[in-house]
Amino acid sequence: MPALLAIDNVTRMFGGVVAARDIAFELQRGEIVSLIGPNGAGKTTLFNIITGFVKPSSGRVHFDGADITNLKPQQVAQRGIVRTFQITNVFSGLTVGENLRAAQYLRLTGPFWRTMLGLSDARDRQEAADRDAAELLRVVGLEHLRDETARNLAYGQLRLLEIAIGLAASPKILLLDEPAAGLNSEESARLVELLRWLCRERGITLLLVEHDMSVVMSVSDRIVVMNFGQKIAEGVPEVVKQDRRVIEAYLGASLDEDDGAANGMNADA
Amino acid sequence: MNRLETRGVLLFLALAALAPLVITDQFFIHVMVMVFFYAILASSLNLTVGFVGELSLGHAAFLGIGAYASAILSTEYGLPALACIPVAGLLAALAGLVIGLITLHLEGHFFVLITLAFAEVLRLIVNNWIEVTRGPLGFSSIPPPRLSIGGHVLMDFSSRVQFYYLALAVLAVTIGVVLLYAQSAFRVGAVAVRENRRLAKAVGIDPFRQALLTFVIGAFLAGMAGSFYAHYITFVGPEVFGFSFMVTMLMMVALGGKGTVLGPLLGALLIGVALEYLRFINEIRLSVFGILLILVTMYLPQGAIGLLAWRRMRKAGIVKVSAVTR
Ligand SMILES: Nc1ncnc2c1ncn2[C@@H]1O[C@H](COP(=O)(O)OP(=O)(O)OP(=O)(O)O)[C@@H](O)[C@H]1O
Ligand SMILES: [Mg+2]
Repeated sequence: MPALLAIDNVTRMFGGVVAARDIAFELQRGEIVSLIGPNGAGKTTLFNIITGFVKPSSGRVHFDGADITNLKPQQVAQRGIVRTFQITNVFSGLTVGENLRAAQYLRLTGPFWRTMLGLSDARDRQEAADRDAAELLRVVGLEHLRDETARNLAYGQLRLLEIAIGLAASPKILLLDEPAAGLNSEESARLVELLRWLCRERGITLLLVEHDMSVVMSVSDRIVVMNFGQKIAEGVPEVVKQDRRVIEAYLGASLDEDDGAANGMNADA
Repeated sequence: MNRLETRGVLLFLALAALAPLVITDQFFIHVMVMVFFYAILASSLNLTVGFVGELSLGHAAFLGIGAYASAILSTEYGLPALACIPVAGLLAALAGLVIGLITLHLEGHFFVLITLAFAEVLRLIVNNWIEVTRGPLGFSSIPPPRLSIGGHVLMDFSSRVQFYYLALAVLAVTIGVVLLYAQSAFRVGAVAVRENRRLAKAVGIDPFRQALLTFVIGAFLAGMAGSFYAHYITFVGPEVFGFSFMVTMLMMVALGGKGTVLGPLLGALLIGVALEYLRFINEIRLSVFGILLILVTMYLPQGAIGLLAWRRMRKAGIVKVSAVTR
């Protein structure tokens, strides 16, 4: 079976800085893949390229066999690739429920008149979308905050809301940029559960940028490691953990999940 | 859209429909006709300014196009006034499509300036293209509407009250369109773009298409308002493209409450009545509105409707006000 997402030798320069150089890897359906690397390695840049927010200087991105390199962000999302942002991004003036409603926009709209007049199929879509939103809020544990304005949420709640927003857009692939950043250990544990649930129950393919190694090691099927814009390793967690170049990239910090690796990885932040 | 607001809108329409039965004063009827006219304009402007959150200063262009389309079609081609109103709306919508395609790619200040420039350019064209527009002279003696079935005249619009109900009918159509829009997924998309353009794109909302759709609907409604205006005032000159109308409707949206359905109606009522009863304000309209606009932006960002909602919530013990009226 061909890969769901294929990054083919993507390069992106910003002035003199090579944010990504010749990056190539693939995502298979239903996989959870993590993209890790020190600060400035080019992870967010790669997210931006995949989702159309940044165009690569060279190289292509293929999704489901089609070239999506030159699509606009909204077109990429319409095909089923949805991302979250490293810096918290929600519709802060809207309530939690309205945030999800906004993310469901695509499935709520049809032809002009049908959408305007709210004809029966529009109403059916609406009801299905409402049920889905309610389930998503339950899964991320925010159902009691449905009518709360997003800007009043605590940080950890916002990060969960972001994931719910991404999911509400019914993605085939969800790209999460540091979803565990700033979460306490209880919230991180909830996140891990959530990510597993997504793959199992919803068949969503996940690409995760994350500094928290306990999260990365426990959920990933595979890990891609970047440093200074280059891919330096790829493989299953057990192998990547012991890769010499990976260990060097992290200044000798151990990547074992139970001895404070997350702190070591952020040492150069 | 909350229930309170829908009720407010229905109450507004019901009171408006009954008012002439009680108050027969001709000047009052005239004032209300102007209020309805302004309410159509303000509601249409509010679609782009309030829901999409883009400040369009070119909205008077659609008023002007509707007014001129109606003037030319009825005086030169003999099209009945009642047919002119929807046709003028469609022509304004077409203009909205063209102007929107050009300007809506721009963001922030550029959009504001270019839309303003469009209205100004149209005003200059109308002023100088004498063969078609009669230049500064404009069109006078624009015929009134006439409603007849099989040669039997039902309404000849010789009395003000008939114009009153025509204006109210166009306003009702406008409110209907705005209500449908406000309850549809389109409003959801527009508000998402207004709140966070980047995130909106990330979940698949096309900000440009969203804004264009809203812009064109607004242009259609403003075009109908312009057409009504032409047949009511019976005179149309280049000043319909002027900044004065623009500032007036903007003020109504801001004072009443942008991004709501009821707000622009309240704004049109408050300011429309003030303008007609306090004629001397007309002379200094721009300065007064300028100052008022600053005050409203600073102290009443949600407009009069925000004040209502806030008072109500405070009574109920809730002080928070969501940015969006559901
Ligand atoms: N828009 C931009 N303009 C200029 N330089 C940029 C831009 N975006 C990224 N860069 C540069 O590209 C490099 C990679 O940045 P990127 O944000 O992709 O790293 P990252 O791996 O996500 O890092 P972090 O872990 O800190 O989030 C950095 O040197 C950064 O300064
Ligand atoms: Mg990053």
